[in-house]
This record gives sequence, C-alpha cells and structure tokens, in this order.
Amino acid sequence: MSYQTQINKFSQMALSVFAFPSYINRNPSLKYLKPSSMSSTKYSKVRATTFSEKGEYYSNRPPTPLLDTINHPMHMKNLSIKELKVLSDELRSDVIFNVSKTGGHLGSNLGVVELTVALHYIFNTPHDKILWDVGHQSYPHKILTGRRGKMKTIRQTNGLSGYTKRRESEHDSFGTGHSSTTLSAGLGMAVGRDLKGMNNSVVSVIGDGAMTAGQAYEAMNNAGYLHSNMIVILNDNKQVSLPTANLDGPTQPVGALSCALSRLQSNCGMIRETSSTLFEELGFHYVGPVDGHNIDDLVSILETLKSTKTIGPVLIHVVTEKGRGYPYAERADDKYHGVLKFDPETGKQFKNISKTQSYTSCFVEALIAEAEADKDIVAIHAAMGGGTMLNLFESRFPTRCFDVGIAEQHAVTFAAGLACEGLKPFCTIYSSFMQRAYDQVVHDVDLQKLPVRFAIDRAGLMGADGPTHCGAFDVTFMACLPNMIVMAPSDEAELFNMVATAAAIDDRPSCFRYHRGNGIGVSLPPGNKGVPLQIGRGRILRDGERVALLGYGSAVQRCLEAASMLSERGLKITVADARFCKPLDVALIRSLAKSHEVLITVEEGSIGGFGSHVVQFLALDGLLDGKLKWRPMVLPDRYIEHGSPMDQLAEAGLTASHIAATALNLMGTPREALFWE
Amino acid sequence: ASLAEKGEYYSNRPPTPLLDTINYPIHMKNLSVKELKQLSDELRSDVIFNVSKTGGHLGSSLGVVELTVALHYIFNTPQDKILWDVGHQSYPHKILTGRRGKMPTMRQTNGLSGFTKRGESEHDCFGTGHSSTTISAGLGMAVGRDLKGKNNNVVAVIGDGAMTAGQAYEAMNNAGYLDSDMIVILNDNKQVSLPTATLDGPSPPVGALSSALSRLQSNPALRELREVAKGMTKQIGGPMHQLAAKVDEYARGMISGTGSSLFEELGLYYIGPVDGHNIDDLVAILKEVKSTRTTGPVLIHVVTEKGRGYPYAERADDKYHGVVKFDPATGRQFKTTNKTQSYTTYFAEALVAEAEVDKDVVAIHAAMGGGTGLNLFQRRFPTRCFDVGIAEQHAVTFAAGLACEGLKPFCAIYSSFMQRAYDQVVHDVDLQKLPVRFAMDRAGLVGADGPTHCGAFDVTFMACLPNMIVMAPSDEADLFNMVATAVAIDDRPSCFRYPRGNGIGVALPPGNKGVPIEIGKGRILKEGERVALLGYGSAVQSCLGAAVMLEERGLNVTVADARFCKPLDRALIRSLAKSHEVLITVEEGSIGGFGSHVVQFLALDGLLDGKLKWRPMVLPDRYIDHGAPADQLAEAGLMPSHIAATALNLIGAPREALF
Repeated sequence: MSYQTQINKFSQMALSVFAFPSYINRNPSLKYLKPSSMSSTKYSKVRATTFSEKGEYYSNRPPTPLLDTINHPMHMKNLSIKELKVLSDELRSDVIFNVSKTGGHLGSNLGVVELTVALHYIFNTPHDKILWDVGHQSYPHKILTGRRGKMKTIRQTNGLSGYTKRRESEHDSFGTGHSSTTLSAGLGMAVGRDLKGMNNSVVSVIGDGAMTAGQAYEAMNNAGYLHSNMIVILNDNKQVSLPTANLDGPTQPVGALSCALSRLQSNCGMIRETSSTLFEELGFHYVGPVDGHNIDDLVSILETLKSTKTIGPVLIHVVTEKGRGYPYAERADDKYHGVLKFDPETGKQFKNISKTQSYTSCFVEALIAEAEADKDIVAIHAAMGGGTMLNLFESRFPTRCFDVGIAEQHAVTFAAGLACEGLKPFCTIYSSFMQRAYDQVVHDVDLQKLPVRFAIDRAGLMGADGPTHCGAFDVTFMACLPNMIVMAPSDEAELFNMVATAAAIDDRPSCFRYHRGNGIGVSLPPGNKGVPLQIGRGRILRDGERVALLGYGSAVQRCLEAASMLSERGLKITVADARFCKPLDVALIRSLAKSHEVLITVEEGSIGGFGSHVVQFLALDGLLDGKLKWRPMVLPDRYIEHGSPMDQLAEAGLTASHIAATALNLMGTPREALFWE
Repeated sequence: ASLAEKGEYYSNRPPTPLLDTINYPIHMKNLSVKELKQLSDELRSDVIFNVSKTGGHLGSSLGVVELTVALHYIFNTPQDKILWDVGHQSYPHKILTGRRGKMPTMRQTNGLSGFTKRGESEHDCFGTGHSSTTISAGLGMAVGRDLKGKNNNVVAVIGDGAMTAGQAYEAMNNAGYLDSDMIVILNDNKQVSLPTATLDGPSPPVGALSSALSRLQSNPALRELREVAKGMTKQIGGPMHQLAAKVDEYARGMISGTGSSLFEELGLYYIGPVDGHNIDDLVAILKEVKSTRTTGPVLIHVVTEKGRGYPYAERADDKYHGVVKFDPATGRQFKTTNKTQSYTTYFAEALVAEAEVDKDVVAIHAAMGGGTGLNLFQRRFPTRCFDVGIAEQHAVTFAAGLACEGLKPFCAIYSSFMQRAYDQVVHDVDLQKLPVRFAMDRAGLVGADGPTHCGAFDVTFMACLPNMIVMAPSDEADLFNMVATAVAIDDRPSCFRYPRGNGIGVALPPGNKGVPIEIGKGRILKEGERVALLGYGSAVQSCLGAAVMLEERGLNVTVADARFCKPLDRALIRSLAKSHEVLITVEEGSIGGFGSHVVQFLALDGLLDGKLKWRPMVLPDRYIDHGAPADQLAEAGLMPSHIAATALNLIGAPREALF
C-alpha cells in the first residue's frame, strides 16, 4: 500500500517537475536503431554467419548444432550471451523449417524467439510458471522444452497442440487458445504460490492485441490491488486492431538498455512514456519499452526482476516484430500469421485449389449483397477481419464495418445499441468465442428482444485447432433463450438464404451457425442475393419409409450419405433438413414421427441443443408415447482432440456410417450394424 | 427550509409542491437553479417515502438525485439518450419521467421494474440489471446516430464499481478509437470494491464552482487545439502526437487528479472531479459539454455520496443499498422474522466449516460479498477470500490459476452473472479439467429482481460441458452436503445451484459440516406407483407438494430427488422408468437442462421405446417478469398444482386435472 502511494507521489512529481521540460529537449528525430546490424557486425568477426543472418533459407533442414544440444531448458543455463544469440538464430531456423512442413502459426512465433530464449534462460520451468497468452506463439517454447522431436506432428491427429496445453507438458503451466486469460491465471498462480508459501516466479506473456480484451483489464486491476509479485510481459508487435497506447501505434522503443534499467532502478522514470500511465494507474510497475530482439537487454532486465522479490506486479513492455528474421514473412501483410505448408526458400505456400468456396467466404458475399440493397446493414467483429473475412465487407463499406478489437462482450452490446438506433447489425463471432459474450447476448439482446443478427462461424468440430476452438455448445446456449431464432444451413445456398432471412428478421434476435470448411458445390443464388426463408420451416430432401433422419446444419449432408449407404442395402429412408432449431418446424416433425418407426436427430453440437428441442416437442405433443423410437446423435460428452476433420468426425461417432449403423440397429439388424463398424 | 434540508422525515407522505408540477422532464425546463435545488430535495423525500413503502434500492438512488435533476434539465429524453448502468439507481429518473404515480407498484407483480426497462418507458432507452453494459450500448447508439445522420446526445451514467468490469474498459477503448460524441458520467460514490482511480479512493472533488468553471471556460481553446493536434498527428506521425499528447496531459495534470490519466489513455476527454450534489456545478458543466460539439467521447467524473440526505442511510454500513419496507421517521426496517435462514447464509456457513478443516479452501466473488454471504467467510478467513470487483470472467480464470497451485477455490457467483464468465468456465476450467467449484446463487426465479437476475439457463450451459459435475440441493441440509462434496471433488470442476429464499426447516448437520454425497447418486423420497416425479433442486419440494395433493385423490405417486444432473443417477432413473407408467421431470430451469439429459439417457437406453410416458416441466420459453415468487411460479406453470395436474392428465383423468 505505502509502496504504491510512493509510486504515485513520485509519478506526480516526475510529471510536474521533469516530464515536460525534459521532453522539449528530447530530439524528436531520434530513431530506434535495430541492434541486429550491430550484432551482425560483431558476429562476422567471430564465426561464419548463420543462414538466418543472411536472410536465406533452403528447403532442407537447417544446421542447428547448438540447438541440437538443448532438450530441456536446463541445458541452456551455462550458455553465454553470445551463444544465446546463436541459439536464437538456430531456433528461428528450426521454427521456419518445421512450420513449412506442417503449416500453422509462423509470424507470431518468429517474433518471440529471443524473448523465449531469454525467459527460459533466466527462469526455471516448470518450477517457475510461464504462461503464453492465446498460445499460438509457443512453438519456440515447445522446441526448447523437450518437444522438438514431435514438431512434425503439430496440430495433427494425436500430435502436439498448436497452443499450450497443460496435459502435453509440465512446462505448459496453463492451457490457452482463447485470448487474454493468462493475466488472470497468472495472478491466481501468484496468489496460490503465496498462500502455499512457495517462492517461484510467475510470468505471463500477452500480446498488445490481447490486451484490448476486458478480462486483461480486470486482471490488471485486481493484480494492482492484490499486489502479488508477478511479471507481465506485454509483447508489443503492433498487431493490436485498436490502439491501446496511442492512436498511431505503440510508442517507439527507447534504444538503450540504460534508460530502461535506470527507470527500473529508480522505481520511477525521469521520462515517462505516455503508455506507461495506463498500467501504473492499474497498479503495475512499468518497465520499458524494451527491444524484444536484443538478448542482452532482455536477459539483464529479466535477471534483475527475478532477483527482486518485493516489487509487486511488474509489466515489461517488450517491442517485437512479427515475422522477424524471415524476409517473406516480414514483407507480407499478415506477416505469415497462419500459413499452409510452404517452401522456405521462396516463401511460396502450397495452397490447395478447391472447387468450392468456404462457408466463411459465402457468408461475406451474402452479407455484401444484402448491404448493397439495405444501407442499414452494418457488420461487427472482434479483431477477426481476416478469419471472418469481413475485411471484404470493410473494403466495400468502410463506414459500416466495426472491428472492436478482442472485445466480444463489447461487440455484442455495441450491436445492441446500434439496433436501438434502427441499424441492422450482423455480429460475426466464432462459435467458441461467442462464449465470451454470452451474458451480453442474454441480457442486452435477447431479453430486450433487439434484432441483432449473430453469424456464428467455426461451428462444430474444428480440425487442427482442436477443442479450444471447437464450436460445440452454441446451439445449446442460444436455443434456450426465449426470443432467439436459431438456424443452420445445410449447404452454401442455404447460407445465402439464411443471411437474407436474418436481414429480414427485424423484431427479434437471430443467429445462424456455419462450419469451417468448404461448401458442397450447389448452385448459388444469382447476384449472391439470398431469398428469405419462412421462419420455422424445414424441408424434406429425400422421401422414404421406416426411418427418418432429421439433420441440423452440416449434419444434413452426412444424413444424405447415410441414406445412400442404406439405399445400397435396399432400404429407402427419409432425410429432412430441419433448418431451424428454433422455432422448430413442428408440422414437419409431427409428420415424420407419425409416418416412421424411427426418428434420428443428427447435429454437430452438444446435448441440450437441437435434439433436445425436438424431443421436448415430441414429448409434449404425445408423440413419444406410441411406438416411435427416437435417437439423438450429438457430439459426445468429452472433448475431441485436434486432428483432421475426418478423424475428428469418426471419433465423435457422427460419420455417415455411424448414422447408417444406428438406423440399422434400431430396425433390428444388429449384425449388419456391427459389420458397418 | 424543506424537510430534507433539516434531515427530518416522517411516516406520512412529505409535501412536494414543486415535484407535483413535474410529470415529464419537459416540465422542468423553465425552472431556475434555485428551484432545481428545491426539486432535488423534494425528489429525495419522495424517493425515501416510496421506498419505505415498497422496499428496494435506496442508497444509490439518494446519491444521484441532483445528477438526475441536472441531466433531465439539460438533456431532452427520449430524443437524447440517458442510459443508467445496472439501473438500480434509476428511481429518481422514473419519478421525473412520468412514472411517479406507479412507484407503489415498484418491483411487484405487473408493476414497475427495479431497473430501467425499454418496454416500460421511452425514457428508458436501454434495459439494465447487469453491470457495465451502458458504455457499450451508448457507443452503439452514438455510432448509430451518426450513421443515421441524427444529432441527439448520448449519456451513459456508470458507477465506479461497475467501472471495474472488463466490458467497460473494452467499450472505452473502442469509444476512444471511434471518437464518436458521447458522454460518460462516472458516478463515483466510493462503492468500488477495488480502487480504479487511486489506491486510497477517489480524489476529493474540486470544491468551488469557480475552479471547475474556469477550467471548462478555458477548455474550448484547449479542446480545439487538441482536435487540431489530433488531426495533425494522424498525418505527421508519432513524434508530433507524443508532443501534443504531452502538452495535453501536462495541462490536465495540473488541475485534475491522477485518475484522469486512465481515461485519457483510452481516448476519453476527462472532466472533473465534480461535486455531484452541487446543482450549480452540474448544470453549468452539462450545459457546457452539451453545447460543445465534435469533441469525441467525454468522461465527467462526478463524486457523489451514497445514501445522501437521509441520515440513517448515511450512517449505515451498506448505506441502505437494498432495503425492505421501513419507517422513514426512525429508519427502522420492518424485517420479517423467518424460522429458517436463506440458502445464501447456509452456503457461507457450510463453506466456513469446510475451510476450518481444510486450509486450501479459498473463496472468490465478484463484488458480491453481501449478496453471496461471503462476507462471513471474509471475516473468518481474510487472507483466503478474494473480492475481484465486478469482474466475473477474471474471477473464474483467477480461480483456475489458484486450482493449478493446489488450492480448492469456490467461485461464488449468481447464476445470471455466471453468464458473464461462460467462456472462462469452458476454456479455462472445464477443458483443462481444473477442480474449481462454482456456487451459483439466485438460481431459478428470483422474485422482485425480475428476468435480468433470473437464473434460468445455468443448468443448460453447465451440464453440456464434458467435465463438469452439476448438482442441486433440494433442501438446506443437502446444500451443506453438496458443499462438502464439492470440496472433496478434486479432479474436475463441479457446480451447484441454489435458489434465492429460505430453507424449508430440515435438521442441519452438526457443526455445519456436511457429509460428501456419492457422486451421481440420487434418492427416493416417497415410494409410490404409476407416476414418478423426478425433481431437480428446489423443484423437489414442489414435487412433494404435488404428491400430497395427489394423495388426497387416492393416488400414491413416487417422488425422487435427482440431486445430480451430471452425472445422472442412471440406476435410479432406470428403476423409475421400468416401474412406472409416467415419469415427469421437474426443474426450475430452461430447456436443455436436467430434463433433456434425462430423456437423452432414456432414449439411448431404449427406455423410451416402450410404453413409458415422459413429460418435462421446465421454465417456459418466455421471460417471467418480476413479481412475487408465488406469482412467478404460477406464471411459469411449475407449482405443485401444475405438477399434479400433469400427472392426472397423463394417467387419463383429464376432468380431475381441470378441477
């Protein structure tokens, strides 16, 4: 308490006495000098340059003699600073090589190579906790913590996760995938450490983009109050969608170690950068900016902080460059954030040519077509312009597209405010990220019956991104809301129609989910303009008898495949596309229930969703009381690990063969069912 | 001097001659500042009188009387939008906007809501009840106004407590970037659980009108310079921006406290602190801000005193935040004497008992020490209780971090507020299978607080999570046992919900120490035939009530307490399904919850394929408005009589059902 008061006093004094005059004397043209050129010069006198220094890469595995001796962070402890630099270069080469073979996140990993080396040199995981926010920048960390040999399996079935994962390694102290959680978890670990009487360090590494999420602010506010010793490393690579420091991007880093260290040593800076005040207001001791690619500076600062135990929460502002050290990434607009397999020598990615577009692309084209016709249509997303492809919408309608940063809860209530003014907002958020804004959906939108449209991308199984990004629960938590219309397209044409439907629904909220992946190749509506569907109206795709398969969303296609399989065995069954989970097409369901022995509902979502709504209707309508056999097929009650989409679907038990087997089993042909499996 | 000025109140309705002439804000426009002060005093008297008759939120409303008067004097609702965050301080606003005559119906069935509600009045432009939403909504309205080419004002009034929630920060960050004209009024009444401005509370307000006004009068030049500088820096780049920002910050730092920096960093123009009870200052500042266009978002830091003007409230620890009916003359509240305590109190007592024997048990709440009963825990174990402020999502991930270190965290958050932390529950706790315990208070219908606080969806969104154990006690003894059970579950997350209201009077375990229940084990409370009622949580008592009714008609039905929604007691359900014609599941929650889990099991087990008739009884697919608990239960169709009627109907006795 007194320490913080003292900080405030000194800050105030510094502001009033020193800040202004000193700033006037400062040379505004002073520029930050990249140390790589200097270290490169030093290097050339000692040994031959590595590939990364020359900026050249080849398709073969690069030589990494020093890295080959590191299987555990312990093996780094006796290295010299000079060797740490060599290690960093080799680590960068290895990351590039590995990602070129598997695809994954590249730019963010290249940006934190030096930081990762410095952290593992100074701190001792797993005793000390290092938490990587979001986790997609953790490849160098994985390589240094005993997983180098498995990098070729990353994001694949039974392989390494693309994010940190507690069960994968004891060096991964907290699992990630969603943004902005590590300050909270780190604070919990720091307080837990204190309560347990231990003395390890806790370090959370968070990007400037992730810093815009409200949870990061809540955690900092709480950390400042609890005053626990912990270190937050703000990895500032200018990737924030919205400025947090100032309007023109982060403050340029001070070039020398002396300034940062002198600030640290004096406990209050003679010269305050404007960005420091935000964190100090929240109770953090601010250090920086520091050049995140300067090993000397990083090691010195971290060493000092580690040895200083009674300082409370500290924030180190580390400035890094995304894609650092790989020219093709440095020059690319997206800094090679998420890449396919590529040739390191040329940077060329081996992109698959698909016959059809992704559902994401179809959604954006549909929305643009609607916005052309209706000027009240606006789009909102949370730092996912690329992922949701609303960048295309923004290019077309710059004043009608809003990127709120990583701030899903604000995005939803912001959309509610827009709807209050008569706009027609489309809030486009991944299914698993929509969980972050659930209270706002309930309290600000549904309860008030405001016509906000939710485009829920990445619904269902998510392949290589695994369970952190799997959109398993959205139907369950959306369809229980009284005023929410809930629908899902079975193909891309239906998606166009549902966008048009959502645009037309102007008296209540609505949502539609669509999955990652490509469409099936049906004819698209002319001009990309969908036709609104009748609310709560499903459709029969295939007329049959005895068994009715009622699919919801992408599951419909597998119902059709199952029907084909069964048809080969002389069984002609019915397939229906429910289209709406809410309101249900009760006439359709009633008809199916009365004219079939078996009704199977299929959805790529958790219990409590579409199937639960169907059976509740069946029960209340008395249709379950007869001889009808109803079976739900849903995502199983466990998390499906990352892997290929086909592997995941098989593990979930939702492939066409599983559906066909269920049907056969219910008609009393268990042997055939067994055969299928 | 008016009664309020003398600090004296009586039990009869106070004289309010000036207020009697105000039915809408338009009637205030020609009043003098002196008359506005009198109006404020009368408004305060009226609030005290009304709340003394109905109960409700008093302290927060008393604190914003002058602010409310000033706002409605300067701005023109409904064209101008005034948003009240959380909304429990909006009683003066309701009185001034045509609802004075309905104040006796406040928070009652078919009466006024205790929070702002769009459907209630056009002067309530955004519904509230949960905290920290109004800057986001206000920004949406401001941007919407711009897109529509209109020119009304948007004002969001938010408390310093609500300011600790992450959404408020997200909204300010976005507002600073979008630079839309809007006004945020920070109603600083020192109620924040955690300091946002300074560690020792807010800066004391500038005492005189002259100081604030002189600053404001000098502002146009400074603000115009700021606008010019902003435009310039966008062209020139960083260094010039830094210089301009430094000048701006330096100038402001000379006048205002350090609290301004936080908001300036986020892009809001900071004004204050202002004495929130000084009508002259408020009117002058609001008038100035309203008349100044194209400045982007402005934050006015208004310092108020909770419970202001009512000595009993001023002296009380809780400033009469939430009160029952009381006598204005003495401040004495007419509290009903209950034979049993609330479930909230039982939870706190159970947790204290567990923490006595297990030093790893810790508690976390989000600015709800009183509401969750954790103030008791805090008193007993000050270093093991964490109030994180209005920050539910942080609370959950913080608990996850504690669990990583081997602690046994109990996260006590209202059911409807748990929605705010859902992603953290899924991603940080359940997916990682961390043993965090969630105590979800206010589950089900919550009476006078209405739909914003109704815990309708928690079973649905919790029970679909693969690793989560989900349970609910049917009485207070079982709540003690479930707290003990949650402590014992140390390999995965668990949650239990309990209702607002009191226990039913069963015998409590000795020393308040519960006994852990076998996971996934339900119990049969009454053996019968033909019909089985399977209740979950508080609904079990309604099932027992229904059984009594049915017994009077010669029908002896079975009543079972499911206890667990996840994992279900499959043996019990299988047994009930095979030995009865009818199985009715009853829960005070939405579709997708307990009943859905039961029927999925029945279907997969083939038990639905026979002659069994299953019927779910859940909260209906509409929001139940605030009202008396009994009225709400009746409207929801979940009373014992409804359950009995369903049973009779299913065994083919429709006439009796109608009867």
